[in-house]
Amino acid sequence: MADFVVEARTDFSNDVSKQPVLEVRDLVVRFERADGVVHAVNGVDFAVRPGEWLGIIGESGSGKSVTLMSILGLLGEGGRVIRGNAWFNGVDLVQLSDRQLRTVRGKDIGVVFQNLAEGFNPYLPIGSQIAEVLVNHRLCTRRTAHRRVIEFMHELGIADAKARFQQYPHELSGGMRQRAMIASAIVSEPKVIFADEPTTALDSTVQMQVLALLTDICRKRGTAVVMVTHDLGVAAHTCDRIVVMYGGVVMEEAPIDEFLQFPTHPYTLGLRAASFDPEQPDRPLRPIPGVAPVLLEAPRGCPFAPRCHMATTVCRERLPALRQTRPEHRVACHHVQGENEHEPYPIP
Amino acid sequence: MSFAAISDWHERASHGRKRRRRLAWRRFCRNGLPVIGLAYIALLFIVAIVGPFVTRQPTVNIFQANQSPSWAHPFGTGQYGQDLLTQIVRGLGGTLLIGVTGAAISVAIGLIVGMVAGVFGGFIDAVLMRLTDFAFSIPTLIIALFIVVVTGFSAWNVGLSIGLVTWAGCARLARGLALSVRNGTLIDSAILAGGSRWYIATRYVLPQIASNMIVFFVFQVASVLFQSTTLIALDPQYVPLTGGQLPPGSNLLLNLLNGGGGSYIGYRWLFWFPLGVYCSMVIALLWIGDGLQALLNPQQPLPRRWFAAWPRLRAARGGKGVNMHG
Ligand SMILES: Nc1ncnc2c1ncn2[C@@H]1O[C@H](COP(=O)(O)OP(=O)(O)O)[C@@H](O)[C@H]1O
Ligand SMILES: [Mg+2]
Repeated sequence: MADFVVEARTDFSNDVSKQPVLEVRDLVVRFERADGVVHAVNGVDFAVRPGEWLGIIGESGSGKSVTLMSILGLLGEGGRVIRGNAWFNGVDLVQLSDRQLRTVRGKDIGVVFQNLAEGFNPYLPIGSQIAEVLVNHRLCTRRTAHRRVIEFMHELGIADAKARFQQYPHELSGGMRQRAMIASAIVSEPKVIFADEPTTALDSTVQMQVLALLTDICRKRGTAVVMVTHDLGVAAHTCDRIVVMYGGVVMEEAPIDEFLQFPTHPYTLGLRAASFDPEQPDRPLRPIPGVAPVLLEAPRGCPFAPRCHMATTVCRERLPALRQTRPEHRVACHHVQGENEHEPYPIP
Repeated sequence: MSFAAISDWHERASHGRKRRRRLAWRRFCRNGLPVIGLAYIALLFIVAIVGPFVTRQPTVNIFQANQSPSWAHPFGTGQYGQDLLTQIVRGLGGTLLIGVTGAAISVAIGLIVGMVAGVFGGFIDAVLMRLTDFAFSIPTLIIALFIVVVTGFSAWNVGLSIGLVTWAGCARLARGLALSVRNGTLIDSAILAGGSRWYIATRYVLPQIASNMIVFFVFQVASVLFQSTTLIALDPQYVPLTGGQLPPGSNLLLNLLNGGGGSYIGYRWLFWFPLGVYCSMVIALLWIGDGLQALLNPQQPLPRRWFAAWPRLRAARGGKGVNMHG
């Protein structure tokens, strides 16, 4: 698949020895709801290395956002981390109290939300909201904060930053607001940024601009990024490594080249078949039949089994473990065995 | 960063603050009604303060009972021959004081209780809401009457007592509104910005619920006045007029009661004048409330000045227009 993708990225695939900045292990998250317990995340493992750009892809309802929010302790009403760890800087974020978490989230971990309309307080000027991050986290005085924010806005290509500083969120365009959100996520110089579908709300030209900007600014600072997206094209352009999630479980994990050349899991292949490929513009798009269910009980077998064309009895009985199939390439599927298996499955 | 640059920034920031203030005022003015309301309430305040000095001592004169409006008695006279204009002017101060203190106290208590409950949640929420249930359950007027009987009848005490017993509704409303904004991306981003609970409550939650609270306040003014009238009449020692004076702690609505049931039919001025002043006051407060809502919400579109409509109309008809946005 597309070669241009490879040039655009820093190659971290050789640097396996780098200690991860964030390591999530066996994370399980559930929501208590009136109609039962929602099993949103059912044992997720992944790690992010310094400066790496990790993409998490999967359909809506796969548990991507919940995974990120649970690490930050921002699960809404009824949400609870049942077990698992999120190691960051030698501490387990899952174990931290709300007060202790406050010194980490927003400061060492920045967040860019998808929901532009709600990301900013409509009653405060945008600049002071960004400056507030620095002031509240006691990183500098208010006066220095204002200066730094204006510098940042300038760096993010916000023209006439001093005037914009005084404007209210609704006075900015979508692209500008997303830039401001990026500024507020990165102004505290975090080690990791969580970007939950950062560009989904934007139209495609602005989308690429904002992505290029985010890539640029994170690369300069060596900030690691965990980006949730359901756009394979966006992921291919920006990510170093991909984690595919479904039903709150990691299905496949691979460096981007590997992922593009040897996608293995039937779910990944389904996603590929359902999205546009510039290499094969004439290929008809084939959606995966059915929708991602809301899991009201813990999946017994593979969560994808009900929609998988390859599913057999064992798929419905036992949850497949993530297994290494090739260097750095791990797949959770009963039908992928051995190290050398990398032939893409035919799509029926 | 040079010193010059810093001072330059400060200049711009203050410029921005001035701009925001100016825009807020323009939003308040909107369609002119809030300004009219403000002017009217200001006028009532002036009349309430100055009135007692320029009106005649109220007297009772049974030979002048129930006279229709004339030059000597512009609003007519009541069944004891009291001059209605004097009664209204002298009742105005109490009316404003009772209405505003009562509503302010009940909204302040309700807002604090409801917002703390909504923002903090958990145990604090549970305790405060049980307290609110209790406040809801008490027979407000009777308890308020006890308070007033103990503390003495005065406009201040009447307002205070009613405020102290009627905050439960406001607390429930404030809590519900706070809860509805508590869960969501907005508050998540406030938490990520390192905001303390206090910061989130005052800067994120309060502005969102302020507009509802303002409306609630205006209705509460009307409700407190209505209740205070009943309160006075419930007083076992209630005397309609003592030496021509309304009882202490009363408001202009009491003039309606003083008319006596039968007189409403024949003597309409006894009905229309006090009611007109009262209703226009409540309407003016509502208009001010509308203006305040617009003032507090920067997302409200800026109004075009009404006198600026002409050039646009001409432009729409193809005439030479003035660019309003330039
Ligand atoms: N606040 C919540 N209460 C109950 N269920 C939730 C809540 N948030 C998410 N879920 C459920 O968790 C699952 C994963 O959601 P999410 O992580 O938002 O998916 P996505 O991969 O699209 O980001 C979904 O089934 C969703 O219904
Ligand atoms: Mg999501």
